[in-house]
Amino acid sequence: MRKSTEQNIIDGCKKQYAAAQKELVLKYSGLLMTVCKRYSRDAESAKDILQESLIKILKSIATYEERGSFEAWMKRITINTALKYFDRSSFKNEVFVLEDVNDKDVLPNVYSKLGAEELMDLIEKLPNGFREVFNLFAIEGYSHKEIGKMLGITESTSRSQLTRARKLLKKQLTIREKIRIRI
Amino acid sequence: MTFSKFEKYAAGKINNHASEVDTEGLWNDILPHVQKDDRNRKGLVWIFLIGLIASMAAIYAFLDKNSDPGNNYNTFSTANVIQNDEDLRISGLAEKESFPISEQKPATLEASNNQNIIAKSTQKNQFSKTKKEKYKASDGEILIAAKSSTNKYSPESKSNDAKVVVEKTENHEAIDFEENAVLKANILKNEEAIPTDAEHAKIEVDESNLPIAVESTENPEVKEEMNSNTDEENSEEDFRRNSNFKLKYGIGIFGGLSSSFASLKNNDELNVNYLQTRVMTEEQLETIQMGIDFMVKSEIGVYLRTGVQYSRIARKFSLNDAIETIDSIHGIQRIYINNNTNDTIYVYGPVPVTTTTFYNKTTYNYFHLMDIPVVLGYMYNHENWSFGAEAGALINISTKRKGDILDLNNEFYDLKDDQLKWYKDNIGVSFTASVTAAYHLNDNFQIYLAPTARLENVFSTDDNPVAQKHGSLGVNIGARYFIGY
Repeated sequence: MRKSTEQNIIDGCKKQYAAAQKELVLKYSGLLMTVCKRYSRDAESAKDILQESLIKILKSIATYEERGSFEAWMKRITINTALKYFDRSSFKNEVFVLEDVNDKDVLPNVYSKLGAEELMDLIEKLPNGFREVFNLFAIEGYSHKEIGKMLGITESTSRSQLTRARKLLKKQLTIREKIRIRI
Repeated sequence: MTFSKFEKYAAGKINNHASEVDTEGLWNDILPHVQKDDRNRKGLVWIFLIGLIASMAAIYAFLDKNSDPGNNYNTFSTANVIQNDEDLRISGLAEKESFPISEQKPATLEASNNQNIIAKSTQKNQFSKTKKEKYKASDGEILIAAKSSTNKYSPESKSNDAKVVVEKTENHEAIDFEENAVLKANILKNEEAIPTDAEHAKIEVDESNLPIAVESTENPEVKEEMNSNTDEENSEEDFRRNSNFKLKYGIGIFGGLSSSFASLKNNDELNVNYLQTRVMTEEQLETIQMGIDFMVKSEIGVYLRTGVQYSRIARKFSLNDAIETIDSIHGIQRIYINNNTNDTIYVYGPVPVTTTTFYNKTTYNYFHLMDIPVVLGYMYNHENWSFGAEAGALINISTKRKGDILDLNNEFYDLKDDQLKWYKDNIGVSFTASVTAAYHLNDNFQIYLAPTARLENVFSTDDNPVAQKHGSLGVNIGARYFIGY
């Protein structure tokens, strides 16, 4: 049976073939850059994280046991690299005033026209700590217990940060909606 | 607050989105970091090349000496007889290189008046190639033929029953026994020959450490003398020869170098990052091993080997990092400028100063293992060489560690203290296999070269987020002394 392109790349990278390594970088760097952008506030740090993540992936690909999805494995490494990249102790000093936001769900027509880049812009504007928790919970699908372990925080802290992140996002979506209506 | 629809929408949109990246530039930045590191592989290749060359040389030497069975005939193309008052001397030029005596060119045979013939050769192990061979003389040739049925002078000699046979010679004066005479002798303890059906002459092949003597029945005095000295030894020898359980005991020392590898795997899927940290900060180095061993070997070549083996597995830990320290110093906190008077007022007080220190920490981590090998093997002997293969278990009796790694919080973790019990103090049973090429320096002593593979059991406990295993491929050299048979 002919191997898939992905399998060829994995096999080649495990043998440290430069061509396969380059192929991996070309094929997956866009996908992983999306992850990096979500966890960083600026393009420069996203680029640094992407480079560091790809080096880690290529150096440790021999440890990939090919049980789960290869993309998921690479994303996990990228996420961990991004989490490590920022000194989270500074996040504790972030102060945000959250005005009361109503508890109603945001209507689909508010966000249904938003593309990936616009959604990422919204998430990027979240404070660092909130952004991490929101990304891990809502986009990556980790549980609060797992997030707590990964970030070194308690489950309840994870929950409260997610709640705040949601409020901020809702506020921003509401503002966008108002601007859209006025226009 | 319900927000799930938005989150699902966002996750769907974002998860498969590929952002724009300058991939060529990115690859150029990455390339220097991921280029193949050949150091360990080169070490491995070198070790095996050396082992392979040595093994091939041994096999070539073995095959070369057995390529022409006719080589074992002892034929002298020229012969001179010199008779002195005391001795007859026969000297001949050997045609064939492979015959033990003929390896010393020219071989010299000396016969004394009392019917002793002494063949001298400075070549060591001169009868080692005479196993199961007979030699015949053509008319007009002088022949001294030797037959060693058990290759007495090689370390593999199973007993002292090497025989010397002289068949048919035309030179009666020189050797002083009848035409078509057959002499046979059993040799005991490397020192003397006990005749079984010696009929005519006594022959001594005398080398400084390898004498062989054959007694003639034509010299009754000599025969009686020798028989009286060796009756008791003969019966003991017969008993040993007839025994079915002939064993040889060996004691040896060995040492070697291996190119080793480490296998690090996640015990905890949530700590993928930690596995990456370990992989990035640690590097496998060489393994050295040494030990003493004891061997019990049967006559058919099967052996059991045990002993004590020490191994040291080396790893290198290196970390480039930065430490930020914030100190408080006395300095200017605020500056006020009076716009009316242009006066400047400095307010002094404690001012925070951040110092970033970059550092590189390198530690050589060592795993020290003490094992008891229990290995079963087979060795094929031929003349001065043995070739064999073995496989078995290494039963660990102690495992100690020294050095540093990073823990889950990126703090240094002392392997020796091992506070979280991440490593085993006894790794249990590992496996080993090797092939051996041995050269016999004499009956009892041999040196050997053994390319060896080894697969270690898991070093880490279940509490360790990363499961750690080791293996190695290398070469041992050793020496072994045998007694028995």
